[in-house]
Formats: sequence, structure tokens, C-alpha cells
Amino acid sequence: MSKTVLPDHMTDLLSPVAVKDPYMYFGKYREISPVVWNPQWKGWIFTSNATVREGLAGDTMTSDRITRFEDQLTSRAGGDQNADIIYRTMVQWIVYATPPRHTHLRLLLSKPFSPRAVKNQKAVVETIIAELLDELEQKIKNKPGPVDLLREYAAQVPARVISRLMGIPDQDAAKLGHWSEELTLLILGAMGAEDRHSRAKEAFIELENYVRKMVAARRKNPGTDLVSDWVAARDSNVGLTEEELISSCILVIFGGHETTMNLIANSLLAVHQHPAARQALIEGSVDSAMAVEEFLRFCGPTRSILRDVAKDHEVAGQTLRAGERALFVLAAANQDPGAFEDPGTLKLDRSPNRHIAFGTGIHQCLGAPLARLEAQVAIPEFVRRFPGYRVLTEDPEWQPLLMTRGLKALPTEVL
Amino acid sequence: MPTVNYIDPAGIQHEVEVPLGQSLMEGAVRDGIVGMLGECGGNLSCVTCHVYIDDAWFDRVGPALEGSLEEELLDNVSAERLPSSRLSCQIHIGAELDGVVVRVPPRQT
Repeated sequence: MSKTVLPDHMTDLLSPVAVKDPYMYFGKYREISPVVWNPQWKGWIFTSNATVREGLAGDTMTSDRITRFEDQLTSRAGGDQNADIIYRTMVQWIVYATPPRHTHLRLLLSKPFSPRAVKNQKAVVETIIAELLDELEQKIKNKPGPVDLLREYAAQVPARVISRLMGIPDQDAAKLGHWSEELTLLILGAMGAEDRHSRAKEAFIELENYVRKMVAARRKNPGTDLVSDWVAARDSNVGLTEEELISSCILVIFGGHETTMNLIANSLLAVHQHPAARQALIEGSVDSAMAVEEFLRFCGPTRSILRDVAKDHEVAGQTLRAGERALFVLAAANQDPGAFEDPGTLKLDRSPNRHIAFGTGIHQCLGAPLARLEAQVAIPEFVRRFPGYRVLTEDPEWQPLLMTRGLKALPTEVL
Repeated sequence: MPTVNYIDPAGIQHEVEVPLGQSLMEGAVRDGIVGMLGECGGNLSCVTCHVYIDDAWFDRVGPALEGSLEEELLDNVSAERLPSSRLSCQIHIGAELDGVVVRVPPRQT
């Protein structure tokens, strides 16, 4: 039995340096061992491209971390009422499901997000982004001065796209964005934020009420949106339960917001910091699909993914036991010198570029085709519209979140 | 070791040795064939390992099984679905496929 343990001074996953530069921080983990035990967090940390890929795509790990939480919650005297109400819905999420239920749900839910379906949404996404850029331009004309690109643009793109896809009126998009942000505190690992349970609960109750009303409305008056499609699937009794339907809508609203917002904002910051990349995007001398793959690799929004060890096994000389937890650091896997030449350099025409920003395996991001499309339009179109934009800080603050690489704000002079 | 001929989206043919039992997707990804992604690692989740089987080989490879998950997922692929479309993670190399020719479609996402 073998266990390489991190030294004490390297165990704080949300230390200032780990939040500011996870690539460097987890690169040091990788140098010790690509799979290493963190005694403070009490779990295994995977940081090489090969071990992350293998762990996520194989059958040694399970995503079902939620049943354990649920058992804990219900067994606790009185229970944690705040968290309870959220976990009751989360337990239905496909992200925690295992086959065969997972296979069935995935097939049903992935249709509207498949490469085929998303290709048909291209014109819609282009229109939305053109509208948002017009609105931003108008706003700056009316009230010159710096704007927070994270909220004023990056967040608006997914909010409006997912709303249109779900048949939600534009004026409700901001509300959905706010609820998503509050939920982030709980779901994406804001360790230590004391009021995270109560804030997340409040947002969750409002979001759930909104979704239940929306589902009822579509049942009465079906449209051509994805909620109507899912309601039809549910009502034709192909095995989607009402709770799965409601929780999946919530998941799409939540899942579609944070990640895409952070991808767009992180990329616009990277472009600001790399004049050659800015020039290439302005001139259109780089393929936008290729550029987005590099943004995903270089500054993708998912810092890490959690799993539980499903069975005893050995990997990279370490002995893992069933029930232990594991953190797969995508940020590290995507900048592993064993897998990429000059991993810390932004090369918009990088090829091949086998990053795993969307994860891999059965739980690989279901919304990947839509996220790619949004980024492929939102990033180059912004740079072309405002070629001289300038981020007003050289040292922006990052959210102290275990699973997310996202900015607190992106104060920018839009020119 | 059997060889597989991958024709990439630019029309360039790549002859790749693929060990018995490995999938067509794995062989292409390991060799870095342009246009092949296989993002979910062969788990029938991403539809980014779409290929067209060459006409001369289609009888030997065969179509996706009716009612299978692969068959359903082929409706989701980005490039046009043709009768010769398959998800290459579901085709495992046996001796009978030595020399098989497959075309990688112009887009996977």
C-alpha cells in the first residue's frame, strides 16, 4: 500500500496563491506525484493529463456523491433545513446519476444540446450577441466610464441564450442569472462562506418556484422551446419523472450560466494580456473555433471536478480505496507539460489541442456544443466591436472557489 | 498489427497501426488525426468521433445496431449523417478490418 502525502504547507486548496494561479500551484502537486493525497482536504488530487483523463473516463470513480450527503442530512437530528431543500432537487441531477439511469436521462436531455441541434441555433446566438453589443455600446454612450465586463457582457450572453432556448422572456434573464450566482456559493465549493447555505436556499426556492410555474405554463400552452420538448417527453411517459424534469430545468439554468460566463470573461482578460491574440482576432486571421479551444485549455472555467473512488485500485503508484474522495484538476491537466508543448503559452492556432476543459467520460459536459458556439461568437465579436478595450487592473481578483476559475469582476474601459 | 486508413477532412490519408481490440477512435486520437476528437473517451456521450466508413468496407464493418444507443446518437452528430456513418469508438479492430478505410467528417462539434 502506497500513499504519497503532500507536505503541510501545500495543502490549502484555496490559499491566495492557489486561487490566483492554480496552474502553477497544482503544477507543484504534479511534480510531487500526479496523484497525491491532500491531508487537509482528506482526498486524492489528480493533476496530470493522463491520470485525469483515465480517472474521469474509466470505471474506477463514481459521480454519485450526493446520496452520501443525502443520507447524512436525513440522519442528522432535525437536519439542515437550508441545505435539505436544495439537495432534494440536486439528488435528481444527471451529474450525480449512474448508469443505467444516467444513460437514459442523458439521451433524453442531450438532444437539444447536441452538435446537430446547436448548429441550428447559430443564427439565434449571433443575433443575441449583436443585440448585447449594441446595448453595451448605447450604455457607454449614455454613461461613459468603466464597465464590469463580467456582469455587463459575459454574464448576459449565456443568460439570454439559455432564456431564449427555454422560451423565457428576456426581462427574466437577469433574475435567473442572480439565482445562479447565489447557488454557486453552495454547489461549486465556496468553502467557509458562512451564509452560503441560507443565501443559496433563498435563491433556490425562488428559482424552483419559477421553474414549476414555467413547466405548468408550457404544459398548458406548448411552444417550440426545450422546456416544451421535455414536458412532452415527460408526458408521453418515456421515463422522465416530474421531479427529474423540474430539476433538469434548474440544472440547465444553473449549468448554462456560470461556466459560459467565466469562459467568456477569462478569455477577454487573456486577450487583453496578449496583444498578438487581440490582433489576430481583430484581423480574423485565426479560426474562431480553434481560438476558443485554446481559451478553454488556457483559461477554461472549470478548475476541478469531484468524484468518489468507486473501487480499490492503484494509479500512478498510489493505492486508492473505495469511498475516498478525489479532485480532478482540469486546470492542471490542461497545462501539463507532458501533454502540451509550452503549456503556459496562449497559442490561438494550437493544433492538436486535446484539452479536457469539458471533462471526459459519461459525464462530459452536456452543454459543450452550446458553450463552444456562444464563445465562438461572443469573444471575437466583442474584440472586433471594441478593439481597444482595456482591462483596468493588471491583477484581477479571482473567486475563491474549489471548482471554478472565475473572476470577481472585470473592470474595463470599453473603447 | 492491423492498419487503419484515416482520411482527414483535408483529404489526406493516414495509415495508422491500431492494436487488436482497440477502437477506431482510440487509434485516431493517439495518432493525432486532425478532425477526430473522441472527447468522452469512448463512453457514448459526446458524438465527436463520427466517421464515414468507406463503401468498399461497409459490409464488413456494418451499420450501428438498430435500437442501440449509438444508433440514436448518430442523429446528434454535427456533420451530415450518411448511411455509412458510425461512431468510431464503437468499432473495435479485429483482423478482418486490417486495411479498413474511414473518412473523418469536416466537423465534429
